Amino acid sequence: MALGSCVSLQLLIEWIVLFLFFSEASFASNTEAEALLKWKDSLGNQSILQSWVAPENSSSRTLSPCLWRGITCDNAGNVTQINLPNVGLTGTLQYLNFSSLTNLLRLDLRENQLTGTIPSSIGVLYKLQYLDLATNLVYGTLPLSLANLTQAYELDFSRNNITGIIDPRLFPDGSAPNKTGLVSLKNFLLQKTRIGGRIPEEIGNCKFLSLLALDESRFYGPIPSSLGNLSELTVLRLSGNLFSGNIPPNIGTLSKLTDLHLLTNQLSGFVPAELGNLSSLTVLHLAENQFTGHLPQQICQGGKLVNFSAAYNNFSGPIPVSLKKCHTLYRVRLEHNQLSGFLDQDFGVYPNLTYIDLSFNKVRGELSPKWGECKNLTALRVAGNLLGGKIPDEVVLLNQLRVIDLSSNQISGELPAQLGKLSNLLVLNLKDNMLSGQVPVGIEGLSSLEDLDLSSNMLSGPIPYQIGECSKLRFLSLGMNSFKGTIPYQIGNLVGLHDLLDLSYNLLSGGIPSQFAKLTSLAQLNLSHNKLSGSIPASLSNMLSLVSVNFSHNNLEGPLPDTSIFQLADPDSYSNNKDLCGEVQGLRRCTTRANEKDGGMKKSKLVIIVASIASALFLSLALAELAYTMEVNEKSDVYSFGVLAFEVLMGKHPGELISYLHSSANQEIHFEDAPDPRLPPPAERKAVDLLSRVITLARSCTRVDPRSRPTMRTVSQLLEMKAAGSE
Amino acid sequence: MAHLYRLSIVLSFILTVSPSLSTNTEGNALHALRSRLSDPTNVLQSWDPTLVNPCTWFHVTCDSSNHVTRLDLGNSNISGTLGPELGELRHLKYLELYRNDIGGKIPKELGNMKNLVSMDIYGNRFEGEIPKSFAMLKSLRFLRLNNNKLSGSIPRELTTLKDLKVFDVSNNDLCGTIPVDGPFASFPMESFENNKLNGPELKGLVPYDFGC
Repeated sequence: MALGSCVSLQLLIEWIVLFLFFSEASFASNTEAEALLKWKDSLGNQSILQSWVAPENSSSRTLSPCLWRGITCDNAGNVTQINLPNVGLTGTLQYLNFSSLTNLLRLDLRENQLTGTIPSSIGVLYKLQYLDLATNLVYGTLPLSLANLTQAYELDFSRNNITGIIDPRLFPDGSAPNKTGLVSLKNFLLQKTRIGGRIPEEIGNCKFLSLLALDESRFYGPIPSSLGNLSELTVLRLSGNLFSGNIPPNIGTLSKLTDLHLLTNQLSGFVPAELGNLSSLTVLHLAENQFTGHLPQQICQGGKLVNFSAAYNNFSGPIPVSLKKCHTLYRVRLEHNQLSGFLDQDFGVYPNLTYIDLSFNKVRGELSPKWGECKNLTALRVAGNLLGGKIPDEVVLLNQLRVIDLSSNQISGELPAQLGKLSNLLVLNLKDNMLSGQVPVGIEGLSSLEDLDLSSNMLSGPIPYQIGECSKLRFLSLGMNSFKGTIPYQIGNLVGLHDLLDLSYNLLSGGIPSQFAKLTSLAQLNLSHNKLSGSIPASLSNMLSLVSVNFSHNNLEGPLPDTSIFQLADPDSYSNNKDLCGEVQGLRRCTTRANEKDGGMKKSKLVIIVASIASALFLSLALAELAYTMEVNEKSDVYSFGVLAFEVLMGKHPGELISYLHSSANQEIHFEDAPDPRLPPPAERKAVDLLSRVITLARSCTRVDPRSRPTMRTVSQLLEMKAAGSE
Repeated sequence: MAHLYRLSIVLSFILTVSPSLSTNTEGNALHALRSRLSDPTNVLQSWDPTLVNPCTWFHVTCDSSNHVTRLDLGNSNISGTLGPELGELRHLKYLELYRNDIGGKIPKELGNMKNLVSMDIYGNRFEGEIPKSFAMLKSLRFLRLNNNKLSGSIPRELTTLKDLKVFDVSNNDLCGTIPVDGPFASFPMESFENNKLNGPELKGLVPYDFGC
């Protein structure tokens, strides 16, 4: 029976092979599931991994992780993806057994709180295409074993605490065929990390590199010229590092480059004109470096430039010629350089432009009417240049404008009559120019205006009262002009004025409007160097926010308002006036106000007296409620109340009067004996009676022996009776 | 709510298209503030978080080092609440949020704005207490909290603010007594009116300060 046993042996072997074959498939799965479970256990309590369980009645053969949260398998049941972004994972990758997960194509763990280092064992994931650990708390250095990920096209380690450098051996060495190195790399992101050092030239061997983002890390040294070999490069972001040296000219050969971000580094030298060959360029950021020389003239040759910044460098020479027809422009920032050129000739029409800042350059020419076609413009900043000509009327068509800053130029002519159409304007700064003519009455249309600075010009005519309609004004400076006439009282309606009201150095006459009292939020008031006359209205004592005043060099007279800001101001605030008086050094003291107008004043003064007493009553009633249960030492507070009552009635500390009262024990005191000299005596009998009785009460409170003073309870009861009795 | 939804859609789009938002801390703080506020008149439209810093945003002013020094949102029809992130604006000098409809508590983190000169949050619906942490605002000159729904007492600690020139808490629900030391000696009574305050604290043998 040898044949039969051969057959059965063969069958047995086949069965065993089949058995092994099938079990290997699930066996591999089991190892993967076990690795995942082991990792899960190491992470502590993670509710998001609830589905990661081994069912109780399963054998190790049937354990499949493929239905677990975040796990994706292929048809053979191998784990190919782990996708767990932003699920609150804590813990480390330490116990993730990568050797059991070598089928992984994609590992996405971004936006968690994973800590620890990147294990070197991650290099065994030879099939891995996509690795994202961004926005975690991972530290340590990039393991060299990453060089084994020859299939990886995207690596993102951004926003972690990773330190160290980029080892050149991570990249292919340029020899063919490349055995190791990130040969397949397309997207490489190391943004906002603590990685530093130089970028290795070897990066130029990553032929497929499309996105290189190294922003806001600690890289230094030169921009490798090998980057010019990366013909597939579309986005190159190196901003916010310490790169130095020049831009390699061969960067200009990258015909697919759309974004070039070199902002905020220490780059220097000339910017290569070759950048003009970047036919796909949409975003160019050169700002905040130390570049010199000219801007690349053909920078918009491709006709796609949207965002262009070169601010805060030492660029000189002309505005790039290609900008004139660069209709795609959206944001342009060239401020703080030494660029020359002509505002009207070097710029065209930009229907998408929202923001342009050319401030602090040497630009000449004028604001041409063409600018009125930049319908989406929200900010027009050309301060500190050499502009001449006039402000064209077409500017008023730019109804999206929020900010106009043309300060410190040589612009002449008048303000556009229709200026009021700019209803969205927040800031209008035309300071330090040569504008003439009058402020248009249409200014009331500037309903959003918060900051208005027209100072240091040659504006004339009256200040239009319509300015009082600009209700959002916080800051108003019209100083250093030739405004005439009176100050419109409507400025008092600008209750939003907070920072400054400056009308100084003009030819304003007439009085200071008492309506300024409504400006209770105003901090600084400057009316100096005008021809203002009359007195400073007493109502200005209502301006409780004032910290600085200047009325000097006018024709003002009379007393200062009696709040401390006026009384304690620097003498320079009042110098060179007609006849101001007050307690300030350099001013004469005011004489008493003996010539007060009579009539209605008496009655209102009486009301004030009674009201003061009523307040004192209220205060003492409140105190009395609490104090009447207190011990003997509360009588000192009764004494204080008595002093207070005297002070209210006399307008000053009673002082000697009290000792006089003590010496003349039982004398009745009449109100006439202890008047406030500033007030006329009351005429009505009732008032005199009431006040006399209060004096008597106050006198009893100030007796020498505390025990003979009434309690506050008694005082409050007596005062209540007196108040009731006087009705 | 719809606006917030739209905003989050736009933001998630931006997040997927461009690799990252700006990493500027102050810009992120303002961006977080924006997400807490409701802004029907689009005052915050220019607040683009993808820009490298917030210095070109309208209603924001920076110094020459690109630090935010002013936030001017007075009278802007905004509502919502403030959050602790405002405390990140360490160089802020002027916080102007007056005359809006902002509610909730005043975050104590505002005390971290060491350089603050002016805080104007009057005319809103702020509730809860005046944070004691305001005593850390050593440069403060203007503190206007009037016309809100603030309760509790005026923290005694505020008497250490030597530069405080203008202080207004009128029209709130404050109780307790009014401090009399330091700068409080010169604030007029109008600054305290329309509260449930018990008048100035009395210094003497018998303490009358009984809190509230």
